[in-house]
Amino acid sequence: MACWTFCVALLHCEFLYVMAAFNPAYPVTPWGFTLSCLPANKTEDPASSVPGVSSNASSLSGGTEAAAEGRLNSSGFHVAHLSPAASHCCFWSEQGTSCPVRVGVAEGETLVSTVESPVSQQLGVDWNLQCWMQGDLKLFICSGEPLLKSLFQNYDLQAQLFHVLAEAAEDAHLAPQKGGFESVQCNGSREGRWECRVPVPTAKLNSTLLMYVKITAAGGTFQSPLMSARPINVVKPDPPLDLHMEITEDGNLNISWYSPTLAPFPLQYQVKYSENSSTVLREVDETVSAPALLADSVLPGCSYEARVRSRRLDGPGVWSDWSAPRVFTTQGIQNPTQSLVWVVHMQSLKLCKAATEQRKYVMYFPPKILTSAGSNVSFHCVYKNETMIVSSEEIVWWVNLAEEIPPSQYYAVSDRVSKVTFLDVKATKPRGVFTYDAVYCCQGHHCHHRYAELYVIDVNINISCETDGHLTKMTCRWSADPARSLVGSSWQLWYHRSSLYCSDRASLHPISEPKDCYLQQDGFYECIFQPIFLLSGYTMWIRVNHSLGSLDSPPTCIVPESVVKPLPPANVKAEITANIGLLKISWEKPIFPENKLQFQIRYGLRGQETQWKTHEVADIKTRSASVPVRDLCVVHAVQVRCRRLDALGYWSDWSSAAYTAVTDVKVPARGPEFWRRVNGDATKRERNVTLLWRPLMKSDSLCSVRRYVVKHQTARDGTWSEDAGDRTQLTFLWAEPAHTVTVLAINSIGASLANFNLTFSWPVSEVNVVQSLGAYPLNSSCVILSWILSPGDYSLMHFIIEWKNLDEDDEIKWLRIPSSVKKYYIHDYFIPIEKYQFSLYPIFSEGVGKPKTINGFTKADEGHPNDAGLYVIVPIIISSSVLLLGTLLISRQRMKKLFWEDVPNPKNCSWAQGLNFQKRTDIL
Amino acid sequence: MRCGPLCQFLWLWLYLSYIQAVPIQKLQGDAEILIMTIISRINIISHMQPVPLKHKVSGFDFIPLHTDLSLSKIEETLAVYQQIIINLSSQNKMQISNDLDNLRDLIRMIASSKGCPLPYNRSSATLQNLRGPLRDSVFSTEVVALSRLQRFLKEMLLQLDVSLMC
Repeated sequence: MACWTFCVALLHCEFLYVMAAFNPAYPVTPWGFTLSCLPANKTEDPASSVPGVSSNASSLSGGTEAAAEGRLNSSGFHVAHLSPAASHCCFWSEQGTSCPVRVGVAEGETLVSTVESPVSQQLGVDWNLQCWMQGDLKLFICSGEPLLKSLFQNYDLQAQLFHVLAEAAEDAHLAPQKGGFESVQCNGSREGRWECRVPVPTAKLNSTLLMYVKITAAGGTFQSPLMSARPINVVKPDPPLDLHMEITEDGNLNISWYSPTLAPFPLQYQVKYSENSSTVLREVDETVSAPALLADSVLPGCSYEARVRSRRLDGPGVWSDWSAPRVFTTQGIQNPTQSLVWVVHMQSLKLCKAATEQRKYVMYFPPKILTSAGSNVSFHCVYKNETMIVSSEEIVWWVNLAEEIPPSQYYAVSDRVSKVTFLDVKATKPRGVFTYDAVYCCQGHHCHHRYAELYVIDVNINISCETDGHLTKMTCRWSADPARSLVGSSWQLWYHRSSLYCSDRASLHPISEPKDCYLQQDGFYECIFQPIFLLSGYTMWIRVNHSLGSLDSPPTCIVPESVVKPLPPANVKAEITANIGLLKISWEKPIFPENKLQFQIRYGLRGQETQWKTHEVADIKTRSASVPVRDLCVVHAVQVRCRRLDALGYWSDWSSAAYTAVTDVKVPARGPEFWRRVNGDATKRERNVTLLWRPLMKSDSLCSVRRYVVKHQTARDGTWSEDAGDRTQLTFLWAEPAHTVTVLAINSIGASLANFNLTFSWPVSEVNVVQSLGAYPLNSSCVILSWILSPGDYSLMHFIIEWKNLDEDDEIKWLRIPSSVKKYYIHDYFIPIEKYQFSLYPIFSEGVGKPKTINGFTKADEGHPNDAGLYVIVPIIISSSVLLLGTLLISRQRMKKLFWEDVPNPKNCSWAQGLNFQKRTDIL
Repeated sequence: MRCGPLCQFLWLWLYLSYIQAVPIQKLQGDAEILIMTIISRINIISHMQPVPLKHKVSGFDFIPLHTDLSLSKIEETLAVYQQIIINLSSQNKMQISNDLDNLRDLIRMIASSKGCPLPYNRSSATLQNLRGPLRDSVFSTEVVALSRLQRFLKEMLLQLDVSLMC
C-alpha cells in the first residue's frame, strides 16, 4: 500500500514536472476567474516568480471553446526566465475546485504542484478577474477586484500587465524571453480594484495574447501566473441600443433594438422582459438571433420592462452589459379598486388587472400620433365592456365626440382589435388649449372617456433663398405661420450640402446639421449661410420637434448660384441727346455675377408719383440704350435693373435714379406767332408798326429761347435783321408799299427753321373779303365769332381775330386761326355789360387784308336772319292756314245743312205759304 | 475598414450619376463663370495689386508658379492654393476657398466625364513651408499667392476654351 502510494505520488510529481516543462498559460475564460495569491513568506521560495501552470483547465473553462483553445495554446510553453515575484499566485474559478499553485523553486526553474482546495484564499489575497476584448475591437481589458476590499483600504495599489502577442498558435509554444513582454500601467484604486488596457491591432485579433499581472499593494507584491487569450474569442460587444417596444397590429408586443457595434461575427441576443401589473409579475427570458422579439399579446394597464444583451452567436464570447431597461406602459384602467385578482385569460387576452377591477376600459395603440398633413394614419383599439371584450365588429369610431367616422374607414383586424384609418389628414386646428383631435373607440353610442390623440401638423413649408449680389451670402426664409405650429413644438431648419449641384429628387440626408434661424418682424424665419459654396446643392428642410417625435417638411434643394439677386447696375446716367432728341441711358454692369445679364430700364417724368414706362434692352452686350420720349424739355428720371439672361435668380433692385438735365436739344421747332399794332394816322404812308408775339413754349423752343430776331424784307432795302433780344415786341417804320417781316427764335443750337411771316401792303390792305361778322356770347367765358366771306377766288393764308374791351384800356388780344374755318370760339373773360370790339383780318400771302370790325355783341334780330325761326314759323303758318280753310269749308257744309233743316214747312208756316222754295235754292 | 471599398464605390457611383445628369458643356460653363468670379473677388481685395511678371519674390517656391494645365495638375494646384488661401488673413479668404473647392469638384467631374484617370480621393496638399512666410511676411505671402492664383486662373480660363487634357 505504501509502495502504491509512493508510486502514485511519484507519478503525480512526474506529471507536474512534465506540465511545468511545457509551461502552459492559463486560458482566460469569458466568464471571469479568481486569482489567489499567497504572501511571499508563505511560500517555500518567495524569490521564485515563474508563472504557474494550469493543469486542470477543463475544470475551469467548463469545456468552452475558449478554454479548449487556451489549453491547446498553452501546451509546450516555456517561461523559465521570467522575473521572480514576491508572492505565489494561482487561478481558480467557480467552474472547478482545483487550483494550480507553485511550490518552492529556485530562480530559473519551474516547479509546480496542485492542491485540491484554494488554500491561498485563506492565507493570502483573492481577486476576481475578468478579461475581454472591447466591442470596438481595439482594446483588450483585464480588470481585477479584491474579494476583501478592506485589505486595501489604506494602501495605494499599483498594477502592471505584462503582455506579448504571439503571431500564431505555434509561436505561443516558444518561450518568450523576459524582455519580450511589454508592460502597461494599470489604473488602480484604494479599494484594490485595477484595470489594465492593452491595445490590440485589428489584424492581431486572432493572435494569442500571453500576459501576467504584477500587483503591488498592502506592502506585498503579487504576480499572477501566465494567462493566454485569443482576443477574438473574448469579444464583449457593447450593449444593444435604442430598445424599442410597440404594439403590433395584432395586439402583440414587439421588442426591437439595434446592435451598436460592427462586430466581425453574428450576434445572439438575450431578452429579459417582465410584465408587471398590480397583481402579478411575470418574467420572460428568451434568446434570439434577430434584433427583435415578438412577445405575447399586450395586456391593458400593464407595464413592460425589457432589457437586452448580446454575445457572439457562434463560438466563444463574452456577454455584453445589459442595455438600459426600457419601460412600456399600456393604457388601462384608472382608479383601480382593491378587489384585485391575478391574470386571467379571456378570449385569448390576458388582463393585467382583473375585470372586477374596472367595469370598462379601452386601450388605444398607439395612444398618440404625431403626423404631417396629407399623410395616412391608423389607430387600433381594444374595448372591454363590463365583463366581456367587445367584439371588434361592434366597435365604431368617433372624432371629438361630435363626428362619427364612416364605417368604410375602419375594420376589424382581429376579433378584439379594431383599426381606423384616416386618409390625407388635414392640419389640426387648435381649439383653445387642445391642439389635437380626440379619437374615440366606442361600442355603438357608448364610449369610454379615454381617447387617442391625433396631432397633425402642416409641414408643407416653402423655403425660399436668395444669394446676395456679392455672392458671399445666401439668405433663406420660411414662413412661421402661427396657425401651423402647435404648442410645445419647436421648428428648426436642417440642411445637407452636396459638393456640386442638386440631385433630381431632393431627399433627407442622414448627414445633416441644423441652422440657426431668427424670426423677423414680417413673420418669417431667416437663416443666413455665409460664406457659401456657389455651386453646391443645399438640401434644406424644416424639422418640427414635438414631444411625440419629430416631423420633417419636404426637402428643398437650392444651388446658391441659381438664386442670385444681383446688385443694381452702377453709374447710371441719363441725357436727352442733342439734335436727335432721344432719352439716352447708360450704365455699368455690376461686378457679380459673371453670367450674362439682361437689363431693364424704367423712365418717367420726375415728380411725386412718377408714371413709369419700361424698356427692355434687347442687346445684352450693350451698356446704353436710347428711347424716344414725347417731352424733351422736362426732367426725366431713369432707373436700371438687371438679372441673369437665363432667367435664373431674381431681378436686382432698381438702381438709384438718374435725372436728365433740361438743355437745348434742337433748334426751336418754329418761330413765334406774331401780330402787329399799327400806330399813327391811317391816311399817312409812313406808320409805326409794333410787332407783338408770345414767348415760345418749351415744347416749341426745344428747350429755351435766348433771343428773338425780326427779319425785314422790302423791295427797296432788301433783307435785314433786327435783334429783339428776349423782348416780345418790336416797333419799326412801315414806309414802303410792301414790307415783309419774319420773327425767328434763337436758342443755343440755332434759329428756328419754320417761321411765320407777315407782309404789310398798302394795296392789299384795301381788299375786303369779309362780308359779315357776328359775335354771339355763349357765356361769360366764351364768345362765338362767325363770318361770311364774299364770294371770289383768293388765297387766304389764315385769319387773325383781334378783340379788345372798349370800356377799358386793355391791350388788344389776338388769335391766329386757319383760313378754312367759318366760326370760332373765343375763350376769354367777357363781361356782358361791357362793350367789346371784334375784328377779323384776312391774311393773304401778299399782305394783310381789310378787316371786318364790329363793336359789341350781335343781337338776335340783326345781322343774319334767324333762319331757324323762319323755317319753323312758315310751316306753322301754312299748316294753320290750311287748317283754317278746311275748317271754313266744313263749317259751310254744316251751316248749309243746318239751315236747310230749319227751313219751315210751308204747310205749317203761314209766312212760307205760297212760296216756291224750289226756285231760289241757289241763294242759300 | 469594410467601408473603404464600399465608400469608394458609392463615390464613383455618385460621380457617374452626376456625369450622366450634367452635360460637360454646363460643367465647363460653370467652371468658366466660377473662375471669373474668383478673379473678380481677388480684384476687389483692397490691397491687391497684381505683381508684375518681371518681379521675382524669393521664398515662395511652394506657391505654384508655372503649372502644367492638365486636369490632374490643375486639381493638385488648386488644392495647394486652397490650403494657402485658408491660411491668409484676407477678408474673403473663406469665400475664395469655398469657390476653389467647388472648382476642384468641377475639374474632377470634367476629368471623369473625359475618362481621365483621376484619383477618386481629393488631393489634400500639406504645406509645411507655409508657416514661416506666414509668420514673417504675411503681406508678401498674400500678394504673391493671390497674384499667382489669379494668373493661374486666367491661364486656365484660356485653356478651358480650347480643351483640357488629362
